[in-house]
Amino acid sequence: MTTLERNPSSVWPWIVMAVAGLVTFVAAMSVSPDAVQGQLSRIMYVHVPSAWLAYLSFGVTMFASAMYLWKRDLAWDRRAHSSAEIGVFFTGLAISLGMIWGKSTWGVWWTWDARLTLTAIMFFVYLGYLALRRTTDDLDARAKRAAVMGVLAVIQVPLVHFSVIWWQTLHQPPSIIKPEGPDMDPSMVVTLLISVLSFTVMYAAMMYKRIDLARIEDAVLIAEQTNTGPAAGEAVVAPDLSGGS
Amino acid sequence: MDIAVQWNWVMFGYGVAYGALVLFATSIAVRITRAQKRLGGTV
Amino acid sequence: MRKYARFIVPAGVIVIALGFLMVNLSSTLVYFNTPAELQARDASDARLRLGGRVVPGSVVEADTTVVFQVEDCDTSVQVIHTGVPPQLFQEGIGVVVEGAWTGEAFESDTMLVKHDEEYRVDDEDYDKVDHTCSES
Repeated sequence: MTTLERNPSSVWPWIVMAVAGLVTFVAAMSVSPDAVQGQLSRIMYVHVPSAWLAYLSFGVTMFASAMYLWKRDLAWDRRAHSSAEIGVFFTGLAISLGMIWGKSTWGVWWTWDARLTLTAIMFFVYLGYLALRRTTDDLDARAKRAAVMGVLAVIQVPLVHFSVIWWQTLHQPPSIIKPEGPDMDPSMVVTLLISVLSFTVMYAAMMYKRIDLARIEDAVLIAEQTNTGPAAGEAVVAPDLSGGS
Repeated sequence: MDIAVQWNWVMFGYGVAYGALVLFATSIAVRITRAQKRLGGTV
Repeated sequence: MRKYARFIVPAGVIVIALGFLMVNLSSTLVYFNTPAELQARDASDARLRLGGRVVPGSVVEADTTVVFQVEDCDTSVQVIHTGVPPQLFQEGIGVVVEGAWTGEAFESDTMLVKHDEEYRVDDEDYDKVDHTCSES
């Protein structure tokens, strides 16, 4: 039976998210602009951490899916699901911000280079993961199907990341993590690290809340499935959700 | 490019980013509340 | 075993779909040709992309066209671009132009500015060397 040890009404994760967002904003607005791009370079401080969180989320989904297949514990399934949803959100955000930057810098909203194409594929495959989860209300069957996909789909993360190194793309290669060391002004490197760190903290807070949601939704499903039995009667009115409240 | 035009793009980008973040966080909060109601106030 | 078929089928579909996309993608993986690759080609009407760095001092702007050299390492190609270039277009910046190769010049009608991975506060600090060469 699902237990609710944590208080889903806790406010602190929302505050953590807001503070993390604020820190990124202040850092991004205080740093000097790039000499060639000008102010447009500021878009990088939300675009790069969004892309990073997409990678991180799908990595966590892969890990939690593997853990589910090993332990068969639905708590791992909820972590995998929560992380995938957050990952889809940040993939979408990274693409949107990339388009805004692309229009202002390259001159086009979109073009079919390897990086952009592969990122779009990654976005749709993880949307497919979320869709797959809706194909059944059987918690264990759903978790098993999703876990297999959660493990397999992660190969897109290195594919997206290294596409700019492996193939000739319009998108520039990574500025910081490269063999010859960062090709970026130190003040910008620091700002980028601050924004990546605060977004990671934001991810942790989001996960906390999203897992709460998954836990309550699973409890609802279990309650509904128990109540639909014809002879259920009064015996099954309140499912045992001890611990929380 | 004119500095003012550059700032417009930057503000457009940050508007999209923070707008989306607020919407996503709100959607989690709303779904939590809804699911709690469906559980019948036992949580 | 029948139980596992349910999971292996969607998994197989994904792997096949990804494989298909990868094979298909390989045709667009090379987003642009370098000047050297372009010169090795015969003149044709085929639509191509050329990428490289705008040679400083080579830009000549006329009414509706911009003529300049695009270089990559030691090879450079003349580009005759019709239309208004993007706002960040300048000497020394990376560009990708779209058009046809006449054998002597590249006639383009679409231009994208390709920003590289370098980020500097002062223009003075910008490395004016073409990076693509030093690596290969």
